[in-house]
Amino acid sequence: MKEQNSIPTGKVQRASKFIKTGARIGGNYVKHYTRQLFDEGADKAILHEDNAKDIYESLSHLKGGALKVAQMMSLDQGILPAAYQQQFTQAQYSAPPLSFPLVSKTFQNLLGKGPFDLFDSFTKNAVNAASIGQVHQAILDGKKLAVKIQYPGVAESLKSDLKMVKPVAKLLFNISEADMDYYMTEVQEKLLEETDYELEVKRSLEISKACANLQNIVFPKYYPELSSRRIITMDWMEGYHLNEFLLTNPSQKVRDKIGQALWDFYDFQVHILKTVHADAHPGNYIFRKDGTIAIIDFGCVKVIPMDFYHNYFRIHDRSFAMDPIKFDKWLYELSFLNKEDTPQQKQLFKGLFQEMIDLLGKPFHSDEFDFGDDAFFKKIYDLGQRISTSKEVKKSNAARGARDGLYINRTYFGLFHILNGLKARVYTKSNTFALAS
Amino acid sequence: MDKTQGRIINSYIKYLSEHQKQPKSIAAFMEELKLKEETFYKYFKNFEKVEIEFWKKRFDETIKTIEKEEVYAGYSVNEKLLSFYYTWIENLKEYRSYAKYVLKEEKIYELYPSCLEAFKKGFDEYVSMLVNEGVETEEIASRKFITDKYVYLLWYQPVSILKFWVKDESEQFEDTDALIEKTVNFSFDLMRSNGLDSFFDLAKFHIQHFKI
Repeated sequence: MKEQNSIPTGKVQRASKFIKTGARIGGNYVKHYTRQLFDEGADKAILHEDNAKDIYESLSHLKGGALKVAQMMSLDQGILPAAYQQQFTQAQYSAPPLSFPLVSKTFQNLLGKGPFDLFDSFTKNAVNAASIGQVHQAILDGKKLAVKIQYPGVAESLKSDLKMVKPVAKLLFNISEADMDYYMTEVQEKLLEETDYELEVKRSLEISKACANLQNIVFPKYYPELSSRRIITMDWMEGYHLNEFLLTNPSQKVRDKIGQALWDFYDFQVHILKTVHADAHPGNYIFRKDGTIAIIDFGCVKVIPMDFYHNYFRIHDRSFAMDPIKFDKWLYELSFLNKEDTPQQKQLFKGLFQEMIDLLGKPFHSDEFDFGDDAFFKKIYDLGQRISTSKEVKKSNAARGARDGLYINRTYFGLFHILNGLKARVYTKSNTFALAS
Repeated sequence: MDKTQGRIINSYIKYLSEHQKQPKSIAAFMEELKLKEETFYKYFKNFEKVEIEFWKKRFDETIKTIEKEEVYAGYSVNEKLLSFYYTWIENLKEYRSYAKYVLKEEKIYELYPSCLEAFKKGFDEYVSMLVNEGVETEEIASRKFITDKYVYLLWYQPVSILKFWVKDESEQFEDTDALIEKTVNFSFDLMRSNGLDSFFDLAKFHIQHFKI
């Protein structure tokens, strides 16, 4: 059971998902390879664009929650080429900033006092946008604080967005209503959870307490008495966002240190806590020059059901993956293969999954892994391209992959993406996994 | 205003909130208050005047509250108007059933319920002050013949906010907050110097040179 950490859940999940994810990671790459693509394979690029244009156009009309769902689905279905995915991952709930009178009113309503009564100072304008709100900076007793305020009516507007996305997505991705619902429930639940700031504070406190002993990971302190349904007050974390951080030219040593901290953080959450910070988006971390990293947003947390966990991570056992009978059974259990598949389809998808697991499992199958290895990411990207342009894959309109894997895959892909950005070398061998099993 | 006048207003508004209709007569109403009918006439000519006074009071109270806030003076004109609406709606919360009664669909009123008369007067004055201030700070574009009309155009805002709010069922009326925010932002986007100005400038040019 050694290198079992193999492919993150992500890898295994849905074939189509893979594609999509591959593409997403690839997004990073797009930067590196776009030129190459255009120089050497201009035809391909154009073809690609034609294929994706319709989908992109339909999706670009969606906003907020609908867009998020569409993103997820397109990842899963592997339709969206990397270049577009890059754009989508940046798309957020878009709203103009809240006026100060409304911020002030929100405080009055929820905490009974205005921001100037609660804090020694408070910035009138937002210093940052959060995905469904905005962040102000405050000072209390000499301490710098970050105060996050949610836009009014977000939960409602998410619900109506989600209603809207269903018919559109059904059409776009050519999957059945039942399949659609299967994933939608998961996504909807998570999206609505994100609008519950009280829950977020609770989880932040729990996870940061459980992870207190991990090295080089820091958490802000939360102030429940200054938080509410739509307000979160926490310590202001000094540091940089990923892109800014990279501009400061951190040494390899520092990058490795941060990469390792992140890796251990996720390893611990998945295998010990079975509860994961499932939004591995670069905006949710603050990188610091001393080689530490702060985790600042617990809006999206996935609790991993035990039976799913055991099933899913069995793939980390290489001997298991080598046993064709067991492997087959496993693919069916996690809905990568369906009973309705034709023998050809079975052959096709089995091959694809095998390939993905081998490729994406690489970091888990060795003791140490260099995430700065662009060749590795290029391979993922190529595989993604291959799947997304495969006619056979497109013809199959069944949804594949267990829904519990949705966010876990997303987490691992996000993690890979950040580690690649950091060009970090990481000891990937997991002790915790061995302990857990 | 003395205590008795305040009592009459409060009781009458309470009556309308509870019954969603007027008392049978002034006499019956005053009887309930254990007051003489003539006392009523000392303060008001009829029931409607009570309501008018009620809305005026809410307006005065709102202005008083916002001006008391330290930040208010430093607000932009846009923010001042927002803060007016938020505070106004906040002050109306305990009278929502009454506001519902005022805006009942079956009730026939012209552009706005007549009991808002005095409120409108106060609002118009307040808003024209804001517009002047906005023109000075250049938050609002000074447009010949149009700037003076802003006040009339802005009057639709409190009425539509009120109509929305009495039907709003979101938690703590957050949807109304969103509506206020969007309404005010939109109106200021229009009043600010923008593409319209160059459009009119161009149109004027064309008209001047399009001599047949």
